[in-house]
Amino acid sequence: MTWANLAILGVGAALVSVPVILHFLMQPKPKEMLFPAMRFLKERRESNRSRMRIRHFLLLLLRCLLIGLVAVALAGPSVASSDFGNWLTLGGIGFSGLVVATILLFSFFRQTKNWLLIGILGALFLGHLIYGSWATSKLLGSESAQLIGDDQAPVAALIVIDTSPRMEFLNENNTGLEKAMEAGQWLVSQFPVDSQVCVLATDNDRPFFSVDVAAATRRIKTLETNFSGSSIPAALLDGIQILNKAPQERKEIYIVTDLTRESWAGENPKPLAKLLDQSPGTSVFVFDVGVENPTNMALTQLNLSDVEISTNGRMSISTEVQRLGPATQRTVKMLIERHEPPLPVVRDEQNVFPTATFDGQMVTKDIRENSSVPVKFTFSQPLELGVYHGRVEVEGQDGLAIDNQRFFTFRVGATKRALIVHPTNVYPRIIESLLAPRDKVEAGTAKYESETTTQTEFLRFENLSNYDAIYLLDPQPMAEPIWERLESYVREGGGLGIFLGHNAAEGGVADAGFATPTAKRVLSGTLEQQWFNEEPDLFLSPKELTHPIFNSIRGNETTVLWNRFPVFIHWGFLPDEDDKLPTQTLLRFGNREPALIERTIGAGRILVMTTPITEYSSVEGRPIWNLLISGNMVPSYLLLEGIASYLVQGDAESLNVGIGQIATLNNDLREFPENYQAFSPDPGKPPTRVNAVDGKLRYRFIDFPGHYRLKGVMDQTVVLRGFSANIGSAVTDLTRIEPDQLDAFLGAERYKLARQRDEIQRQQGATRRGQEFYPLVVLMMLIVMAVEYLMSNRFYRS
Amino acid sequence: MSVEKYLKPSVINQIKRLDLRAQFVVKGFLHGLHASPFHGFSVEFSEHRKYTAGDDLKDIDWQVYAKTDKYYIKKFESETNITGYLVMDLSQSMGYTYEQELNKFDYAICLAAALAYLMISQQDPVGLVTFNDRIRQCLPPRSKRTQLGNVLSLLSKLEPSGTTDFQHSLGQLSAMLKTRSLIMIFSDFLFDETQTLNALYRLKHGGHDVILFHILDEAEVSFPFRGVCKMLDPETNEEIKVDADGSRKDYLKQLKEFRDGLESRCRQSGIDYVPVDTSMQFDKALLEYLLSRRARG
Repeated sequence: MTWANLAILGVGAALVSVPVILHFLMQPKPKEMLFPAMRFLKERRESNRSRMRIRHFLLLLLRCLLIGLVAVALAGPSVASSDFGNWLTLGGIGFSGLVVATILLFSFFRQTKNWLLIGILGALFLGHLIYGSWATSKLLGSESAQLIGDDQAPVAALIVIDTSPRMEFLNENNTGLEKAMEAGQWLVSQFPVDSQVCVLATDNDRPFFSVDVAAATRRIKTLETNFSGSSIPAALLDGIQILNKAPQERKEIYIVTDLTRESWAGENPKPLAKLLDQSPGTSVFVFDVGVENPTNMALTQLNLSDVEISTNGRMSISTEVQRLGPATQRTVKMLIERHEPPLPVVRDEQNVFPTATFDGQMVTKDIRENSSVPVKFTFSQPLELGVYHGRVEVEGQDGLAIDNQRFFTFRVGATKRALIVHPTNVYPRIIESLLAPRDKVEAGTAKYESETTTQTEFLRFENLSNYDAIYLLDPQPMAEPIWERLESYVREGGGLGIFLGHNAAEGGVADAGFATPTAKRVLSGTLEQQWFNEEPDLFLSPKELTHPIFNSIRGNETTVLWNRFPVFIHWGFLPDEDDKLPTQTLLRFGNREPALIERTIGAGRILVMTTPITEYSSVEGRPIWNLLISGNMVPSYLLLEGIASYLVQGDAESLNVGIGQIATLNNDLREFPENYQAFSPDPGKPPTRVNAVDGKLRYRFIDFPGHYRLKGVMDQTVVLRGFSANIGSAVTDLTRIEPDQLDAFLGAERYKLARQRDEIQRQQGATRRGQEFYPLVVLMMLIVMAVEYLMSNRFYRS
Repeated sequence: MSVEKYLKPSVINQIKRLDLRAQFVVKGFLHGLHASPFHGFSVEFSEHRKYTAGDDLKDIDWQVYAKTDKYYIKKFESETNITGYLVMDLSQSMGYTYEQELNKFDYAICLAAALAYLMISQQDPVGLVTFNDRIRQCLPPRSKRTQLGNVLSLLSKLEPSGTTDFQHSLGQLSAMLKTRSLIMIFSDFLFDETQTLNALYRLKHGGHDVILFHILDEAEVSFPFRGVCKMLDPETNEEIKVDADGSRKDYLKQLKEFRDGLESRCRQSGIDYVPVDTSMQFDKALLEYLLSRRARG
């Protein structure tokens, strides 16, 4: 606790004696009067006399208190803001103790003494005294109490400015970031001389103290929206550590943010709360530059049916239009860029990108208040081979424009060739119809070009490299050289799908042809015995659907009911321990035995399924292995579609990535150049050079949403490649953080929240000078004066 | 109606002559009564008159009706005479008032004068006795018209002084009385309750009818004082300092207990108790007298 003028307190203490003296010297003369009926007064004279004394004593006490309060008010006491509540509690304890002491005194001096009551009151008073002394000593010794006083002492300040995309929200012609930058510059300008300032944006930058105020201001002026930055708690954790090293005793943290929940999401509040607890003298101010009830229109992540289609292929793009705010109607547009060689190029230090598009598609949607509506576009125009960029956008003005556009990239590639190999006792129609449906083949839109052969014929195939994927359907035993050829094929980048069934058995156990060293490597293990399950209660039991083969199933988990497709027989499997070859079980049966195993050899992939997918219900002369393709075939179809796409490495290229991720593209030097110019979506950013390493192109600097274009030259022909980057849907979620969530990070009552500069100034003053008791003391003075007036009027009314 | 204003002490105070005061009080009082309380008791038949609409049916003389077949109403005059004594407390405390027009003694005199006037006009003999620590004056009862002048003359000369010895004074009075009488005592009774009751019991035992007019000042009834006051007893000169606001509740409680106790004991002994204060109109006291007389008739 500090006092603005301690001397006045001494004077006040002296002046308190005045009413005591006056009380004894200038007691008002009572009015004298005749009164014959005095006998009725005499009987209660003693009690009345003591009551009168009590009232006089109270009046005297009130007058002394009044003078004392005047002196206290003029002396100007103030305490650390963080301790203000504790001081008030202490005041309450003091008042309570005073009341107890008064009652105790009266009880003690009464003619009839109640010793039990006196004992209880005495214990109560003692308790008050002990607690009051302890609390006072604690408060006087608190760290924050030492820091109040001179409000011009230099401070070490950490200014954390939120530079998330949400700060681009436009309100009253200013974005949140502009407001934050203004606020930051103002904060810097009003720090006391010799203060140290660290300006920290949520852009993963390292915190440092600016050399002077001007440098801090310059730093604020250069802040930009950052799409892959850190959260505010993460920035604070970094910033507080450097702040704690500053020599200044007074430390202040300013968080300038729009207070959206996303700025604090994904972080555990405990480390920050703990760090702040360890620095009780550090003041925390939150400057809210956000909007209480924002309205926004946003597109969610795009969902492309395929990222690679054939020249006559068909592709659908679906998304949702989300509305935060009242109902409205908006038009959503989908555009796909045409190739415009030699674009992209750099002209006048500006990147020039293609602007021509194929015929756009538009759809107008009514969106209800705070809801979303799905939007779907289908594109089926003949395209040349190559990579194409497109975008979906919501037309019209919006507070936050950044989430009104979503970008996508897809490739038009040559049709993949698949070879389906089957013994004569196995019918391959299911795979054929999946890979190359007749209608699509006729329309020229089929993804795959399939060729079917018997296993006997297959043994005579010389060149497997013509095929992108080979499917062995319930294969019969094969000789080691065949396995070696298959292994070699996979190593070179081919995809091999093996669906084991009854043909692998010889007398109920696995044929030796499946136990050769190469067969073990290709199959990723050794076939043991067959597992029989007579009851229809064994099913495929997928647990996690994160693998790319489940792309089609993911999102439809509730509609894919595997328990309608029982498995009666499957091969037991002893995994190969060769840890040089990456192997993982992607799918298991209900009995936890492996159902689908993935192995990578060289550049290719192998998927082994331990039960066939060619078991029609009409099998004769042997037990049926499963009912996977009986009745409703959708689940098996979805699974096989994922397998087919995975085998031809349809997922290997990341044509659509998120901000901050790494885009990886295959770069076979037989097809593509080694070096590229990489054009960022920012027209003002000069292109960088990217080189292919180990057949891969990796682009790491994805910090802005849009199309990233790679331009290379091969055989004097321009090769255009690229990908799209989008921000996550949550990044532009403008939902405000709840007060209790903010409390969890910063500690309840630990921080000051302000929306205006004068609030910050007031709170700064309160923090630096301490919370003044003046208003409270004046209020108490008024109360005491009122009570004194009423009591004295009552006693001395003429 | 205008004469009723004389029932107010503030108005009657403006009339200096006591005989006129008494006259105005009684006339004001009688004018305000709806039916004469004289009728029906202690009066003598004087004449008949013809029945007119509105007359009380019980006053019809049925014997005359039987004889004449006409309705006649009986009219009466006083039949018996009551010897009344107006007993005035002369003590110093009776001279007290706080802010009323009449002090307790003035009020008592007005009341006594009015009663004397009323009794003389009824041809009842009335006497006057004053006392403080003993009987000071005694005017024997007479029913002549001149008696009123004597009573009023004596009343007008009285001045409250000294202390009270109620028991002794009323003992003297009791010894003086030869015939059964109506004793009307005007006092504030601010002395020992037991003494009061003993004296009253003695009178009652002697076969007398007693009416107590307990006269207090309006301030004694309401205790209107504020703040710290130093109270001085006019009789004993004892003084005490009290916080009037803090003591009011206790005082009023004590006073009520005293008055209720006195009334209760009086009722048990057949004594009429009339509590009045100096702000009240006189009719209450007069009515009490008349009701008492009626009960005796």
